[in-house]
Amino acid sequence: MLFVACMSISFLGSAYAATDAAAMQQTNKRQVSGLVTDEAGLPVPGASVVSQANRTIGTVTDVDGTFSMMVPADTKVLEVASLGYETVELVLTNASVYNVVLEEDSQMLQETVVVGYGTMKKTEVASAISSVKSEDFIKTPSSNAAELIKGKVPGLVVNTPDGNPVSSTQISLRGATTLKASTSPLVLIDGIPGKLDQVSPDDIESIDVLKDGSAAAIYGTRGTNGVIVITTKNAQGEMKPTVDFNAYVTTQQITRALPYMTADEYRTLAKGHVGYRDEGGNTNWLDEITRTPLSQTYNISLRGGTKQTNYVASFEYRDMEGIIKRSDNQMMFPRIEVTHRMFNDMLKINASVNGFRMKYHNGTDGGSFNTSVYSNINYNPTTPVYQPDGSYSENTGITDYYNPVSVLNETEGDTEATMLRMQGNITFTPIRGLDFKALFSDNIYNQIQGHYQTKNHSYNKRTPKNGFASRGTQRSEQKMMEITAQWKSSFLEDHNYTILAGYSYLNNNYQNYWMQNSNFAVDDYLYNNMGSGTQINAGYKSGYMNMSSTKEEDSLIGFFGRLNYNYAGRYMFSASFRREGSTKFGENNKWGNFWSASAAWNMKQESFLKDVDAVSTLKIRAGYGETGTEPSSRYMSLNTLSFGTNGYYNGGFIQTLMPNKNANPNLRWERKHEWNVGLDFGFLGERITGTIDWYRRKTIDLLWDYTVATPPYIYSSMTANAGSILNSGIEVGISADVIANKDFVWTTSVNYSHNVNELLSLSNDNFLASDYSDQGATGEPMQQSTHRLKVGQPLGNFWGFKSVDIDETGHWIIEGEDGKPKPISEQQPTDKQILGNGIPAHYLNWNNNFSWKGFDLAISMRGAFGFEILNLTAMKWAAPTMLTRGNVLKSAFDKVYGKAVLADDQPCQYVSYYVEDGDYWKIDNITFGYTFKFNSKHINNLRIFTTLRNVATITGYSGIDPELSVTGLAPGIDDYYRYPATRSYTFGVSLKF
Amino acid sequence: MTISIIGAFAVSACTDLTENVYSSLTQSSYQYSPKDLRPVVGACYTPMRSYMSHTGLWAMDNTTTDMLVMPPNSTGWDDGGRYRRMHYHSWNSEQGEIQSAWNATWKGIGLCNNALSQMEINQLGLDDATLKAAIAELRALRAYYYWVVLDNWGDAPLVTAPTQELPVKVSRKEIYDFVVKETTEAIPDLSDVQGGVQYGLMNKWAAYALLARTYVNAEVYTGTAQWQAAIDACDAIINSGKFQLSPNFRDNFLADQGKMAANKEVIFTIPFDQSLATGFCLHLFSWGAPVKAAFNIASTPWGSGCAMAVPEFAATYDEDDSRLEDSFLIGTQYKYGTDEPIKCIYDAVDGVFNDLAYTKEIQSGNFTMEWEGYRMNKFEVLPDTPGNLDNDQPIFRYAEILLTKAECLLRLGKSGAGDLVSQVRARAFKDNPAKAAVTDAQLKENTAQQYGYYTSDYGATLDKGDTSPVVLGRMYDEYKWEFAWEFGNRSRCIRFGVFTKKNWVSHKSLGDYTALYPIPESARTPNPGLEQNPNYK
Repeated sequence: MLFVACMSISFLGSAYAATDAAAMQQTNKRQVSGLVTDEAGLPVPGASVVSQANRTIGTVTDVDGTFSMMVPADTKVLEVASLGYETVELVLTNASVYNVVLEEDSQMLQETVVVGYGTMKKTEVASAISSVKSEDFIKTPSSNAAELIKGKVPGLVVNTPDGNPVSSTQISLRGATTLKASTSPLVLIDGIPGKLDQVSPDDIESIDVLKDGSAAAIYGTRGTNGVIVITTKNAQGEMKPTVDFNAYVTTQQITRALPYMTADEYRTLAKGHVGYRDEGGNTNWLDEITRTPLSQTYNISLRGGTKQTNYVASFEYRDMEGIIKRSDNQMMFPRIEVTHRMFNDMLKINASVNGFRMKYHNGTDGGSFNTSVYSNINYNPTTPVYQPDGSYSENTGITDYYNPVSVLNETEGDTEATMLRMQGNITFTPIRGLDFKALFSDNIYNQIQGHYQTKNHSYNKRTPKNGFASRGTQRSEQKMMEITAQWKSSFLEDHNYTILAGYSYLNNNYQNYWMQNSNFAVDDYLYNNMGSGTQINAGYKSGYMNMSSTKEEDSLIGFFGRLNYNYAGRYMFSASFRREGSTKFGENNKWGNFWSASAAWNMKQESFLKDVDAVSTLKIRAGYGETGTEPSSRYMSLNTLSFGTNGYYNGGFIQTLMPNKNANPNLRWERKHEWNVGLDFGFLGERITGTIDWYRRKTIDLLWDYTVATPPYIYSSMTANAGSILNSGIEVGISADVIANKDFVWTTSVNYSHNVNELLSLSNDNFLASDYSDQGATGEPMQQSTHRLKVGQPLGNFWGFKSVDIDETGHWIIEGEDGKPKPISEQQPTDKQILGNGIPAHYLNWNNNFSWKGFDLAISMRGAFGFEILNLTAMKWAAPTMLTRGNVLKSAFDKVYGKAVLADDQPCQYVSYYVEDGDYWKIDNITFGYTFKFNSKHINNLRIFTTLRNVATITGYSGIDPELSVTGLAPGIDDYYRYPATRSYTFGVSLKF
Repeated sequence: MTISIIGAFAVSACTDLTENVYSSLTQSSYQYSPKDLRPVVGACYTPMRSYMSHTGLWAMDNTTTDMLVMPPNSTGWDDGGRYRRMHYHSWNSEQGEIQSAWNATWKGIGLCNNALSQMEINQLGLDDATLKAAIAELRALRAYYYWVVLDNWGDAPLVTAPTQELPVKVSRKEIYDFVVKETTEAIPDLSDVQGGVQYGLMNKWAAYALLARTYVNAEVYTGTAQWQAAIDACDAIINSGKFQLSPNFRDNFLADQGKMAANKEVIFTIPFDQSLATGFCLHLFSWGAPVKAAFNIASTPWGSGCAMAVPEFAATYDEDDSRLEDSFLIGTQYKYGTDEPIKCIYDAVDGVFNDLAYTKEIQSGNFTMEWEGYRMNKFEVLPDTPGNLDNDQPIFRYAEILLTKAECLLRLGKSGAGDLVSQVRARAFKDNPAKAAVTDAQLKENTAQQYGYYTSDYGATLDKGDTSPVVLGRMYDEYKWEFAWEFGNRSRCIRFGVFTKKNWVSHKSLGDYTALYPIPESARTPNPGLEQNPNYK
């Protein structure tokens, strides 16, 4: 308390000094004018020019960068300032015209990083935080924020597993720390939880990734997977209206088509095999369902303001087409933000409204892309699309065999969604260094979808539903309130500290309803007249008629605090604490405590390094933090009853009443303990900079649906906390300004990450469960699980039969449990073994930026190494027996192990032959642009550019694209029905007014 | 906006973490009343529905025997060898079928225990008579589930009240005693109404049938035969006068609960509905996809289908026995209501898709062609049937009571078996009634089934294996002709000494240990005190 009182006095002292400067005297005046330019000689409009002695005297530069003002004759120094530039002190001489050159303020842009609930100088940070500013973003049209930093943050894996315009990018940080809970980092958009695709990438100013436990612990149960903090572009201070306009068009092509036989090849290769049928036609089914898509994006933003009031308004329109016909996504992102400062900057008010509007083709009931369209390119190539009478060719007997053109054309559907993000915040700064902030937000997502399958739809030819319609809506709302107080000061000269305390309340509410009906008199209504289908008169029938709705709610409440301290910028210490409670936890465990501590030693500030010019940065960091994870579903701890399952009684079926799960009142958060040790370095005046981090993260009390003993339990699984996972790894990032001439600049950055994962246990002292769990599915006709999660092993292991040979008749020979070969017909579950792992052990990224005069060129390359892929496509469709189900890949007739073609009478088998090395190196992105600079009144600069994405892949993998889903418990499966990956070509312009 | 949020917040306390439930119920807040009687008791029956699955107890009871087999074909149906392993008897503790049946059975027992504990404190507020009847029904139903445990796993846990304690195993004899005791004690309080309102419920007659089933297998379960006790249980049903054989064999397998509730032969059954109580899809896993057109159904059978007759079993039927065609789909299939043959769609011969005509012979248990093997034709399948059938799967039928009594008479050296069996045969030989008659002596003859092992070439036998005659082999055949595709077949196969001794199709005798199933690995790892059955890991 004494310490606090002492600091208050020093605050009052400085406040007094500030008011003292307000005195103003009337004196003689003189005229001063000049031109303010940047280092490139371009005029800087909106720069403030203020008398140092009397700050009420000043002006701003006009669009040409010129200023002119009357100042008191005794004025000695003017301060010229503009956002993003270092402030220049202009010492007045007798001259009346001055030229001022502003240098970019690299300190301000690069050296501030966002920490939870605030910002800090990078040199004072003791945790593992990567910060990427907009100028370092991948300069390419992106559909979501993750793509901007793809390959830029060591340890952050950004994957684009398919080309569906509706699907989002996958991200994961530092390995798999959880089994059941979400693996996505917490994403905060200007402090409000959201998703990476909920903000227009063109509106983003910076993205900060809080990687380790010590940085993320202040976010408690949401911090385990790291935190991605998105800061949107804003305007600050005096600024003339600035307009940015971006436009791009993109087209795509399939990277590699699945090598199914053409009709001619079919007639040659397949003839004589069981299932062969020549239907006289010649159809390329892939061509029938794909197109050359054209996508367009337009983004315009306006920023400006006065010293007191700033505004940002922007709008983006996106019309994306997918390579599969009819797959699309139309989006609009409006945004308005206003900030006002008053009472001498003591009060800052900020409010914004933004969100998006989305509309896409609803190809499957409740989703975008119907996998039947793409999976059925294995339709017999000799079958014509249409019969002579104009109807679709169909064979309604063969399993999962649908004319893909019918599925595509005979479906009508739209999903329309709007997201409204509203927020307001007030910051009160009674004295310098003390901030009180209150933040309120309300995010509302509304979605409505309609889907109709006509009477001619392939599904309805098979199962006569006479037209099938579905309609549903979803609404989710997230309300948040956050109150923080921060006090930043110093004592005894070199002791600097910041104290933060806060309270946070978050409430999520979800509601939906869904209805399905069939047997429509006509197709004309589509899904717009649900009641006209007559199936409703006959009552519930699974797949024909159904109705459902739910409503759920949860709340998360937290109290938190943090202390940052540093001594003379040399020794840093930080500690945080959060006490958090969630409704999702069991009644015996509602609240949890999460804390962290970290320290750093900035050696560059020490006397022995201060004068060593070669070393410009050298800092060692170490931190420890505990974070948690909430269960992803609600109500899992409650002993819920259901009236669901029907039982027969007295002439009819009645709803029965039973507990619908093993309840667990002890359910609680999953805990992660993480150590992080890091080194930041910079040499030769920061021409070479880099970071190395080592981490060890152990998750305990793993949330999981454990296989429990029946008896005594009624259900064989139970959501509980037991078990643990260990991840450890290193991350290295190095950047260098290789060449930095006046005309030619080449910067390069390389980053590498490596993670080792082990499932330590699936039980604890109080809770015993099975020590393995099978995951993933091959689907029919193999009907096997693909992965096994086993104690002592890493996540992502493929588990199946190891093929070692093939007999002369084309039947697999596998390795038995005893290590000896045996025919596959004698397979036993105990013969199964680990066949590989679907999670890459190493990631390497290499980004290069070149510029020469007005030209710029960026090349991004990425690679993943040390993993295997389960080629499910080959397993199912490179087998002659599958000719009974349509077309097969040409490779079905290749000799396996160079010995024999697979036998016609051998059903598809999940054997290690289909587990392939997945290593790849991708030239991911090449962007080439030219910037025209104008000294015009109307336009500042114009950049035109072209981008090639997914340019080339070097890999030994025989399938289409080795970049696959690597998250979840069944990673590394190359499905035959996934939306195909594409290569894209973009042309764009950026204009600045 | 800000104001409204502040307002909303001010109402709720800032540390309130009460979970608000909207679209579900919780046990702690639900108020039970007498109207919950049938919902609570009825819930205890529902786990039985999962028995009727190609990957559940049905497969353990049928495709492991000398009657049915599920071989792969060009459309798949290998699924990691699981169906073949049921045929080979080479299952182990990871076999999904066994795990599924174990989980369903213990779920049934767990729900019965829960409901009984609710009845003990009369949570529903029932009157005395209703309460007493409900307790009896739950105890007898639980005894049926324990009979499944007894029959399939032998030594097992005996859990009789809700608990979270990990149980240990008790001996098979103790489970047997429990089943007998519970059933016997429940009988006086059980309803004696046949069919109608009691259709599908555990009434007095279902309990007697359970006792008969338990006693007739007593020698297998405990080493001590109980033939006379089995006869007594059968007599209780026979002498009640409430049951009679249906005039037509297939009257017992109709897709109509209304008709079935009036049926006088079915004693206990698992009721299904195509939408409200799903899970019976025998047509989908036995038939091939082209058969869809033969019955004009709204669902497509899975690939070439899979569950089919063991050829040597199909060969044992008398040529005049109508139960062959009333149990199996045989020969050329025609489009519904026409005489237009249906073509094969998966397997061509020299590029030609022939008419689909199901043959008795199959290549082997390792692979078959689309047209091989007699398929299911026992349960009525109506046009427009979707993926789930409306039919019910009988657990106990009056025919079994008559045959059980006949067997026990033979076992005890008493006369009268022939007459009982002849009663059951009568409706199967309407075209040749003389053949319905069978004598006690004939029933003691060897089985008509030719046993032997082969892996290809349509029955060119490689290994005949054990050729010793089956004691009361004809009696065994009589059961098989009557009960193909139903439950209880494995117990009989064991009781007549065939299950672990004989070879058929691609199955070779592996030894006596396969008469018990292993305790699923998934049940043992979380409860290491649960000892595995002999010869299993």
